[in-house]
Amino acid sequence: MRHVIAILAGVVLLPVLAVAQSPERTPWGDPDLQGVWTNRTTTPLERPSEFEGRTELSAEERAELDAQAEAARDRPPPPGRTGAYNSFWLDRGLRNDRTSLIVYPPDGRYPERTERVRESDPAFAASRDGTVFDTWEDLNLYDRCITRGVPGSMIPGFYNHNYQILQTPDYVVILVEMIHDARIIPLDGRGHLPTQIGQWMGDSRARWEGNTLVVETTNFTPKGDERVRNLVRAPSEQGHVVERFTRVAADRIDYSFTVTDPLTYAGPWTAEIPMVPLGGEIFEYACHEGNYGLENILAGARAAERATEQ
Amino acid sequence: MRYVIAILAGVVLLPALAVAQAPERTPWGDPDLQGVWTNRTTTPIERPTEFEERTVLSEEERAEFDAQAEAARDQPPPPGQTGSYNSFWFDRGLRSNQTSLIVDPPNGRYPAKTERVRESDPAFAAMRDGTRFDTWYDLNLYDRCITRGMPGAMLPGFYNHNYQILQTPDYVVILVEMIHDARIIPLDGRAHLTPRIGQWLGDSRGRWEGDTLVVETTNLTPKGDQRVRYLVQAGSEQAKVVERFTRVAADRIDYSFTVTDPLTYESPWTAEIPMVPLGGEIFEYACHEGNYGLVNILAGARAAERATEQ
Repeated sequence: MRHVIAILAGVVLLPVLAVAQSPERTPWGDPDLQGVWTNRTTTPLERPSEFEGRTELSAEERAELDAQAEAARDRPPPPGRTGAYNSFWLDRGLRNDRTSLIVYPPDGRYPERTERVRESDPAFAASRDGTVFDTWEDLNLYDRCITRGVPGSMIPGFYNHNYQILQTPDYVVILVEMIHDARIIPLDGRGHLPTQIGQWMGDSRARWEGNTLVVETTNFTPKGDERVRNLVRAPSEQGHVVERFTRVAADRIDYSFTVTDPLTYAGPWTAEIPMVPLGGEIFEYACHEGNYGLENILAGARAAERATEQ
Repeated sequence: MRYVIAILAGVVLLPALAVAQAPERTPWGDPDLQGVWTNRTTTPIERPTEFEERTVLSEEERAEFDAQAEAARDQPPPPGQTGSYNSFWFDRGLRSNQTSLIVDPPNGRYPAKTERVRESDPAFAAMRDGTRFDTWYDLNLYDRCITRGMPGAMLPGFYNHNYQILQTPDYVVILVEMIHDARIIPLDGRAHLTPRIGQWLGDSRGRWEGDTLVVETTNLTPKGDQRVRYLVQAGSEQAKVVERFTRVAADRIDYSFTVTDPLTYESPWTAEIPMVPLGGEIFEYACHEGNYGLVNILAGARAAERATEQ
């Protein structure tokens, strides 16, 4: 009798599951993730303390936070400040229904950093105070237009958080608009590079688990101090990043990554960042061209020194 | 009777043609250009005057050139000069049997530059003398690690002249190791961007003509003066670049491009640059990291100024 019920349940439920779960497929049968996607959102990576203990926002709270963000747009900067980009440049999107992009640890915040990271680099604290800008090499990898690494490349920012995904039977290509890194990821089961080869984007290998593309990245470079590495969240040489891409609807990829990095964090952490269609294409990216930000940061630091000396 | 002969000839000849002409195909039937390729060669882009009327080198001449290049490796620099990379860094390859990469005009040299280019920018001449390095903006796009543009990205250089090609039914991806530009080229017949959008790599569209991939690139940006644009051979806003990729053997792609640019050249020019398997993979590219060349160029120019003033 249980056997019969199981069969009946199967007959009834399977078509529903098929509608909900079967994504479009490539001509060779893989789930089709291809397209131009964006993960822009004003949802913060870490959960603000006001939402402690809560993982989701109500629709009213989302509307309120979006209204606040809209009201804060393009206000003149406080007296004595230069201000930053206006809303012509920023492309921040809206809140999603989460209180944070980090979903693990359960408090929605980074795990504790290891003692090694907290104490190994006195320069880190100084740079976080904004006091050390003696050379362009005091700026981080992102400010220097070098890379955002992995997982940094996959985290939304102020703008250019757009991704073009292409698939072949043997590779997945993820063009990241910001800093224009193209991740070309083998799907053919080959092993990782030898451990002595470290890269900012690491070494990524992908496989299909059912309808989910799973990308494992290792071989991160240990180069640079915490100042240089901070903003791109560069994992240590022991870092391991596992990303999951599942096309749950024509207009949505559920994306998450988990970072395990015993030299940097006391435990693993996971962020969930949905991708939706951009509704446009990605144009050529420029970072250094016409960009006087770095020069001005150094000139400002020199001006501050002269003011202190007088 | 003619009918019977035609059929017989077909039976006999078709297998031979199939061996000679049919490239490997993707699962969806396009010729398969995929792989990691290199176009390194010591063959110069322009024909040296000693070969004025000749397009092809003899085997003896090729061997002689390769022997000369080998003998010139790692010689100490002349007194008073700093020297440059040694052969650990260079990856220059060998001569091909062409006397020049340029095959049209028939003299193997660039066509005459237009008056606009020759006379519009006096700063160009000064830069070519190596006398003006007041700011990093006096360096060209390649030295600044920005791009080599089109067709510059497809020309071999000193090293990193490696290309990974991937194909989907609707796109071709060409990852260019040098400066790590990824060209993502639609094959789906879409029109070019509006002419108001100019990019260093332009706007490329691919199509299949028989077994040849033809890529047409327009929408090159007119930004920058001749000093900035020089080394990357950036096309003007009226330029059109037509590339052709034909996989003529498992281990060879015949590649050529033709530049038509009435604002820069009096007539079109064509270069042929075969690609062969790299026999390895492409690792992460770095340009600014640990690179003090630009700082040293500016410091050297200041030191020369001080020496002149004294």
